[in-house]
Amino acid sequence: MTVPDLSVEIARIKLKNPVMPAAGCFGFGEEYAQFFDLNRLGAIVVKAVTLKPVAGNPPPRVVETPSGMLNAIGWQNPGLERFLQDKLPFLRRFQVPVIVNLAGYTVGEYGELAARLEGVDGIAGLELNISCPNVREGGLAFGASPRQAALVTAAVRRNSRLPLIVKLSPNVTDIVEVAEAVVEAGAEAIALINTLTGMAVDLERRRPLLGNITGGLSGPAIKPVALYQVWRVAQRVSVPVIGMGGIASTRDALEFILAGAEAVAVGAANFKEPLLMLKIIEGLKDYLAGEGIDRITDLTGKLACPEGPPGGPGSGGSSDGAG
Amino acid sequence: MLSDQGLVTNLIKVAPDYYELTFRPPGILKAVPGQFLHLAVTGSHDPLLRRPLSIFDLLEGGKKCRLLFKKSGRGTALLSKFQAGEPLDYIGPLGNGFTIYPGSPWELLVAGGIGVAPLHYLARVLTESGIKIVFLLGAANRKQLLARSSLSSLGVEPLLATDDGSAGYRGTVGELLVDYLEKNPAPDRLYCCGPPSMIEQVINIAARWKIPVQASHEERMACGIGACMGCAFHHPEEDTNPTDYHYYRRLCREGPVISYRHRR
Ligand SMILES: Cc1cc2nc3c(=O)[nH]c(=O)nc-3n(C[C@H](O)[C@H](O)[C@H](O)COP(=O)(O)OP(=O)(O)OC[C@H]3O[C@@H](n4cnc5c(N)ncnc54)[C@H](O)[C@@H]3O)c2cc1C
Ligand SMILES: Cc1cc2nc3c(=O)[nH]c(=O)nc-3n(C[C@H](O)[C@H](O)[C@H](O)COP(=O)(O)O)c2cc1C
Ligand code: FES
Repeated sequence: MTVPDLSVEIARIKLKNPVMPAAGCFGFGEEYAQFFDLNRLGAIVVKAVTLKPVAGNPPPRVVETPSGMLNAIGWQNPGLERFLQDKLPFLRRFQVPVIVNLAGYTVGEYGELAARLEGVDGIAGLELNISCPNVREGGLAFGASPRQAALVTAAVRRNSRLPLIVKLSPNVTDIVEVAEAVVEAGAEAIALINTLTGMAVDLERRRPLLGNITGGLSGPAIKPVALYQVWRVAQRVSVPVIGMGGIASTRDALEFILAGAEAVAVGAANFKEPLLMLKIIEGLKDYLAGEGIDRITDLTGKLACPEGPPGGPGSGGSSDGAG
Repeated sequence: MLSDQGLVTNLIKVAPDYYELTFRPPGILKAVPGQFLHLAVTGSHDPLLRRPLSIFDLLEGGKKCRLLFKKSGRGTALLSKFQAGEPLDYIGPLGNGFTIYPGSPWELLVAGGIGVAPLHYLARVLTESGIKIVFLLGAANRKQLLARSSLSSLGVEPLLATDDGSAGYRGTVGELLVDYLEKNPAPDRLYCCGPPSMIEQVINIAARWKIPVQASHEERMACGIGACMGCAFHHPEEDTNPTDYHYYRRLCREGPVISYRHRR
């Protein structure tokens, strides 16, 4: 029997397998390269890069929660200049597409970042982070409104021919509206979900546990929400979807693929298991082989749902089916 | 590779809520005192994160490692249930560790509570290279003065302080330090670990005598290897601007040992 084909193509980027790290959970690759050969990944997604260096939020920045964690890093990064000088040369050593997660405080900054990365050797694509809950301006503000999200996307599209992925926030009333707006504005793929806004309380000291008060929830705790959002968006947009949110096993990855994700990203679970992404890549191969499926793309979006939209007109329930 | 699976050989309760875990690494574990291990306390993803623990002792040329920990929450409670024969999944050794001065005639070590853990391994390495040690050990009460017999077997007899006076000096280990420095020649440096308030007190005292300090700090960690920027630590002696990228360092990489030179 032939080896199952794990390759996928997303936003004109060819990936040998559909597994990549989630932005911010893999630094700029250097640390995890001590654990395994990064060439084995489908792609490398780096931490958010901003135009100027950013110091980030006061500690504590991470707090564990049931089956998950809150983070409020606040975009700490060396800025574009030092990213290009100090971080990118290391990443160029690998034969893996490098996707740069971009973050800005204004539409103009996103545009400038894109312009400055145009034509830079070793960058396969851009991922716009318009969905970070941990910075006051920018970030989430852009992700929360379809109009703003489209403006940012268009600004980047104007300045760059690089493959363009837009990463969406789940902290919105209707993620589909935002997804449709950014696709209209030129997004070639959608990544979701970013973290869910949350907080944690230190009862003894009667204070918030995070230095930033609020943070973003990730890890297995958010998987059901992420699956739902991926499923909804994948049905409504014509571009590929990169699914993430709580993926911690091969099984989780397969569930996202069935729900409509062409590729998956692993975030917080890497912290526990540095070799997890390799395990998932092997696990996907084994699963396909075991099921007699030739290509991973044969599974994409193949979730068999009962006829008719859930909670739709006539179903009698509320739109989320709860209650 | 940094990620390994050891075999637990022993777990004992050494005081109410305090445990000592001994394990054998798969090969030889080489570590500098002050470095830590990032432990998986369960095979599942709940709790999601690993737990950082200092290396308390490394014996038999790195074939045996001891950890000393306080049961303070869910993760350490799970760890306290480990049994001999069970695997122990860890990443490490991680962090910078203490800087050691091999030619030094003697060193001063100051520990508060569970802060004795990294300083115990430091004491072993120092005594094994012929360096004399003065060890100040403080805790809330007599029962929480940890690792005394183990220190004793290294030939180190700590000077004690307890908040309630149940053993040694009545008062904090900081107060004991003042008492010691008033009566003895000052060392070239001092090493310390303990709760944040204790570390702060020791640094302030050391500043009066102009003694450089190497202190092992704690901060909440996610990855433990420098990738997530979760363990931000601002060095109070650094006059970087709060908006500068280097304002915060990663305690898991550029720490957990922070050097203080009292330059301000
Ligand atoms: C470098 C380093 C070395 C350490 N060495 C030791 C040691 O040798 N012995 C020992 O008893 N303890 C040590 N600690 C503290 C130890 O990591 C915490 O007590 C432990 O993580 C608490 O986990 P928990 O699940 O029991 O508590 P919970 O409060 O339930 O933990 C919830 C979350 O907060 C984190 N957390 C809670 N308290 C601390 C803390 N004080 N420091 C860092 N993270 C914390 C946990 O890791 C976990 O992610 C060290 C901490 C660091 C950073
Ligand atoms: C510590 C940490 C830092 C993150 N930083 C970024 C970031 O810089 N840019 C971004 O788009 N998302 C960032 N995220 C969000 C993740 O990429 C991912 O969308 C989210 O964590 C959900 O996936 P998970 O549950 O697998 O972690 C971060 C998440 C964590 C936990
Ligand atoms: S814990 Fe992730 S960078 Fe230190």
